[in-house]
Amino acid sequence: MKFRSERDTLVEALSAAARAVSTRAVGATTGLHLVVKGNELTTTGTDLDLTVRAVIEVIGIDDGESVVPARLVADAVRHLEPGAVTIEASEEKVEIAAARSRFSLRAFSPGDFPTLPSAGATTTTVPAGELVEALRQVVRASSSDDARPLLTGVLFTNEEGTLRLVATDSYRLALCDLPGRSAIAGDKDLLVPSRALSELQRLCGGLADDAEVGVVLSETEVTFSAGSTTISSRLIEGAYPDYRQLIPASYPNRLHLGKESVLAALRRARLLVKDNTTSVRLTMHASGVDLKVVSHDLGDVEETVDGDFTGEELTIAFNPTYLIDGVDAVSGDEVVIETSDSARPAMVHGAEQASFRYLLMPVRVQ
Amino acid sequence: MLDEPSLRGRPVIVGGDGARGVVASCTYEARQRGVHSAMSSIEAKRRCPDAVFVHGRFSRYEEISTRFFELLVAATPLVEPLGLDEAFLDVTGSMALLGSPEEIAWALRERVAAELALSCCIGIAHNKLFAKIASRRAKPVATPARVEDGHGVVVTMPEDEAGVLALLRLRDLWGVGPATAARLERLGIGSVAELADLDVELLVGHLGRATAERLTELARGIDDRPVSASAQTKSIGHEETFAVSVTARAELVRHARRMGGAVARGLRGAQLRARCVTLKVKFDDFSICSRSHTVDFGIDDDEAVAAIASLLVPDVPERGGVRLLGVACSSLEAGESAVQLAFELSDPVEARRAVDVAARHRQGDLIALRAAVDELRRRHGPSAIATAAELSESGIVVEPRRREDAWGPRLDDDEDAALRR
Repeated sequence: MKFRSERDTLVEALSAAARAVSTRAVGATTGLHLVVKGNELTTTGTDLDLTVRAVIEVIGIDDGESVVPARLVADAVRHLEPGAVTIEASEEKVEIAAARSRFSLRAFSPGDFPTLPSAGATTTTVPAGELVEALRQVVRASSSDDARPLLTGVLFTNEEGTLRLVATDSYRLALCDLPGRSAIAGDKDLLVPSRALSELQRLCGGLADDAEVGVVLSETEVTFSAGSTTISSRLIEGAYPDYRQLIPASYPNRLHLGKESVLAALRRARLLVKDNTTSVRLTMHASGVDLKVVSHDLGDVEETVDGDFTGEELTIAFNPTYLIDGVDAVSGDEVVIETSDSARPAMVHGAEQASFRYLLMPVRVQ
Repeated sequence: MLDEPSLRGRPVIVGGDGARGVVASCTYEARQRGVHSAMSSIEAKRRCPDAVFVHGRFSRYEEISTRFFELLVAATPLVEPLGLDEAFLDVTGSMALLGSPEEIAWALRERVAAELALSCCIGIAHNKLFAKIASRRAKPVATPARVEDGHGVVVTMPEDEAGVLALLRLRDLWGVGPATAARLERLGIGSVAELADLDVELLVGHLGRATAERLTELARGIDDRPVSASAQTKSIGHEETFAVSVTARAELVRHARRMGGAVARGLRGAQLRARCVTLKVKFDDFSICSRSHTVDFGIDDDEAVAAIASLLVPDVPERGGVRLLGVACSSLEAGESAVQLAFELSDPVEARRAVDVAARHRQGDLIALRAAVDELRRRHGPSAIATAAELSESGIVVEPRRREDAWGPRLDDDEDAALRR
């Protein structure tokens, strides 16, 4: 196997695939599978749950395959002088040459690389821009606690014919509808690990505005294709908790604020939060909201943000990071926080669009 | 003595008189007969059959102790308590106002006698090691013949320190217990002087660097530990020795719950909340096992602590009868109680998280209930309201038993007769 490529194109493909490789892996699974066929290089990295495959055009010299140490090769190429890079691999070693630098690195046997299922035909497509925005809003609410596997995923579900994304870590819940986009698997729910979706977000960042993301489904896997890169992920098995019953039908109190001003104020207030026990207290009144953080060790901070409030004056406390996550997720310049009392969930959403909602449990302060 | 003048001059032992009781303290008359604290009550009765056993009254001690410490703090704010009735005082800053350390000591002794009708002994020196030794020399001495009055106040001047050290046994040094003393003896070190002469590096391999350095310094009379007034509470707990070992798991759960509730009230009293609950078990073979569980929010709710304590019972290995059970709360935090509430979701829940969920609910949602129970108990006494776990055959047991039975369970009459036979 031998090919030539421009450094930056190659780095992008190698690092995208290398991100799937687990830091805890051993042997050939710590490697990237490189395949050259004609003028096409396919690089594949996997941790068996998540597989990233990037295809780029190169100057093919000899067809063939090799499994190379993922991080080392990606880092080596990244640190080369700009310009052309030549990679040549045999069974035992891979040589990387550019300008006057030359790496000769030990390689793994291609036979030891896991056999991965190939993705089937594309089921559906979703506009990349819409999907990326929905993921930006929703993925943040998923859990990182492996003890609750169902919550580490994002639910792709069918809400009356429309595609809806839902995530919760049991403290907050984010949901986003994509109006006009039909559900991916009909009535079947898909639970996709948020790790795969974070990678997808990253990849889609470089796509053109009108690009489409292709979705391929199998019994146990979902594959997203963005440009020439595909991300395949195992689906999480099990029935997602019934999130609909968590969403209150209506709220008596409604606070309307400028998104940037309340975000800035919350970020200032959060400076006094050094652990996950300190909360930010919001006192909502006719002319807006007073924010207050009292830290037992450090002192306190107060700030008033102007806004419109209808309802009964009340004080409610939140984990400031969770609240910032919710307000930041809203698209548009204005944000609405709806509440009922200091022990029931509050709802954060944009002033105009109803497609995104963020339900947040308060912190109970004594 | 203070409350029962008829006991003056008699051998009185404070402690549990049951088969598992220990001597918490005793009068010098009892000491003359060879009784000392931490001795088993059975041994104490053998040595001194006519001793009067009285049960400790913890609340009374606490009351007197509070007043005692008020007198100490009047002499200097730098008071480091060593239990209920002993403390280190740094009077460096008080000398300009109150006179020499010796004058301060005599004045303090007089005030304690006048206001609390208690005698106390004071040792004065320029560090903690010599002050503690001097205070021992200030105490009355009990010999089989008679009780000699102590000096009351003993001062060790720097130039006398060498002489004091020469008289010390290894065991008198801080941190040298039976195990360390035995280890030192195996190394051929039998006296403080030998320890002082030793190159510290020779000890490091045997005792670890920190211990080796501390011990050789102490043996040389070097002790620069400051008197620190603000020793932070690290844990709050409660343990009980049972009169009859407990084997039934259900009964252990009941005791764990009851003690958990009591510890939670202790936390509220101290205005602290804990993130970690530890269950400690001592079996009949004296082996000890402890299990703990941590949650990600501070708790001080009775039921929250009780639920976690009882959750830990199944984790305790089967090793026969349980003679002692304890519940302790650690990872303490002050400040306001803040609990992040959570959705009730239907994903599969393992037992441990079910307890976390219950604890979160109790701590976060039932604030009003907790306040109401505390208020009821404040107005009508601790047993005005109780949970099922606090009901026993002898009625409601809400207060920690420590207040009466800290040094072993009480003796019933048959058992007493059997022991005296």
